[in-house]
Amino acid sequence: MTSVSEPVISVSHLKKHFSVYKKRPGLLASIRSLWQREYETVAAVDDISFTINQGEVVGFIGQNGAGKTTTLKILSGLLYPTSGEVSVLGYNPWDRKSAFQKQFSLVLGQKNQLWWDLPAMETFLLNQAIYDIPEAQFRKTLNKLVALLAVADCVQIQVRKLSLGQRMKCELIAALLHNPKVLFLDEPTIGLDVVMQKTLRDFIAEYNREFKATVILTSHYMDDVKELCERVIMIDHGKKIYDGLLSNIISKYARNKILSVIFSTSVTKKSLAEFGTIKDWDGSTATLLVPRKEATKQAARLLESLPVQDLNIEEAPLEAIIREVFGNKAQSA
Amino acid sequence: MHTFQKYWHIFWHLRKLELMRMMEYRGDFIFFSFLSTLWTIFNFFFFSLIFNVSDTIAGWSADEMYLLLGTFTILDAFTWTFFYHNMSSYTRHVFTGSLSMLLTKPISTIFLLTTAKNSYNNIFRFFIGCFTVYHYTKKLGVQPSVWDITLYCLLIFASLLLIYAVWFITATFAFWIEKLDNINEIIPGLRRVMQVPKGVFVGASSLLFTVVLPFGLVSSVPSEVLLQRADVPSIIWLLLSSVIAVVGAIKFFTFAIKKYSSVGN
Repeated sequence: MTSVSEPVISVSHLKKHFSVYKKRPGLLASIRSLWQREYETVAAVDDISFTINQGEVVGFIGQNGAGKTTTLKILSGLLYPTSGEVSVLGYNPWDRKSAFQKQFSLVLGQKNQLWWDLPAMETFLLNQAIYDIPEAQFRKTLNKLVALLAVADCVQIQVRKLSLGQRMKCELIAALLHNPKVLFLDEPTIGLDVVMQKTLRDFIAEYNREFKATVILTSHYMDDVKELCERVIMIDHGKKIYDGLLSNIISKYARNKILSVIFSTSVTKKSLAEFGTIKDWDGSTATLLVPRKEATKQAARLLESLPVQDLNIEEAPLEAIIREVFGNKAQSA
Repeated sequence: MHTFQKYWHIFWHLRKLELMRMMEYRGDFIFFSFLSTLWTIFNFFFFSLIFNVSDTIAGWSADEMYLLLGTFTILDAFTWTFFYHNMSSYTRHVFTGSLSMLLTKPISTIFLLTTAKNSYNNIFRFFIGCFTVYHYTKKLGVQPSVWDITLYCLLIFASLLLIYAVWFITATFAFWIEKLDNINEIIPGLRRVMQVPKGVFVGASSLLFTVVLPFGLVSSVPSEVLLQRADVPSIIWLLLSSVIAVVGAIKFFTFAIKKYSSVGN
């Protein structure tokens, strides 16, 4: 239904409002709530628009409750929007057409579809029946996914006896057996150790390359986003505040550069103050925050004025920039 | 045809999964099979106490009453085999947000919610019910025709649909009521209504349990068919009400699903 030139996902002025019960603290308030409750309308998604093309891997970044998961649930057809238009693979998601559901997959890091008391293989076989996957294709895909994620030993073991990482790998296999064209990943690496996170990231990247799959990823781990997504959409309190290349976030939002200096002889803290904001200092080394535009000039001044043995000019870490962006938003809100 | 085959295949695949699950916990299976059999025996014992002091209940003799209880036991075994577990799972899915995983599947969500679970603890009760019906039909000297037996089976099916659909409608209220643990106790609480002859209901209770919510017909009418004394309006109403309830359940679910808010991650 979708030609290559058309966006795979198209969202226009999407809004989703929830009516939320507001409970005051204390026993008296609980008693009062038996007959009188206060509700407030919360705009979980507030007038968001974007398009995503085939094969793109887009990261949704935002704080808890920003509206990322709600957006994914609307795109998957789980929730009805309050207003706005959404098209995924040419379908209206909440029509929940079988032809549409066979082409996407939703992985919720904190929910599972595997049968808890049985080996993961049983869920895979059930999904084969539900998704009408021909036997040959099923075996081929399964073998490939099992090999890529190195879980050949796990798929015959009761799910409840698997580790969190093994379970998550099996969840991914269950979600990908039908070779979905669109993949919604909500916190797929949550709770996993760094090695397992890396394995899953490599796997997602490989899946995207091989199947030209469109992926939307939400994660609180910036490494996930940095390694997988060229493009990010930042959401704050339901509103889109940035949509563009990940690399452009630095030039747009980073106010400072970091100067890391090693001195040949000890220097005083006072002597460094005129070059920028001192972040760290121990006499022989120092880290300074300097406004981006002045970074080169201040570095040159440092080299001239002080006994510098080595000097590096670095960009601020992405995590810090994003933390600052959301921190400022929270303060201004 | 393909769709029917797919659903048929998935239905039996799910039964196989549940059987495998049961075998993982065989102690649970043995204990609950024993308990459910005991409940059935106690139920017959309870009515035998009544017949110690009375010859009939609403015009039904003891043997006729046991035939009705056999029919009820068949219905009840099905109810506990399928409905209780699936309805409990349904309301839990809505409350915890795990319904999300079912809604994305290219298959009817109602079908999945209705057939995903079952228990095998009540299998023995089903056979007890079948044997009781067979035994008392013979003892009473009734010789039902093939048509009577076919109609009996059809009405059992309609009764199951009615119980299921009303239970499903009740459970669907979980979309509005955030947490209501006892929502699945409403229909089991009405089991007493199903195991007595429809003649015990008079006045307002008759209107309620034979017309508005015709649970008073579900064991009575099929049993009357075997006893060859069923009245046509009751047969028609039982069949019709089951269809109305199923259509209502589907429509109500389709409406309610729009209220689904999932839960935050």
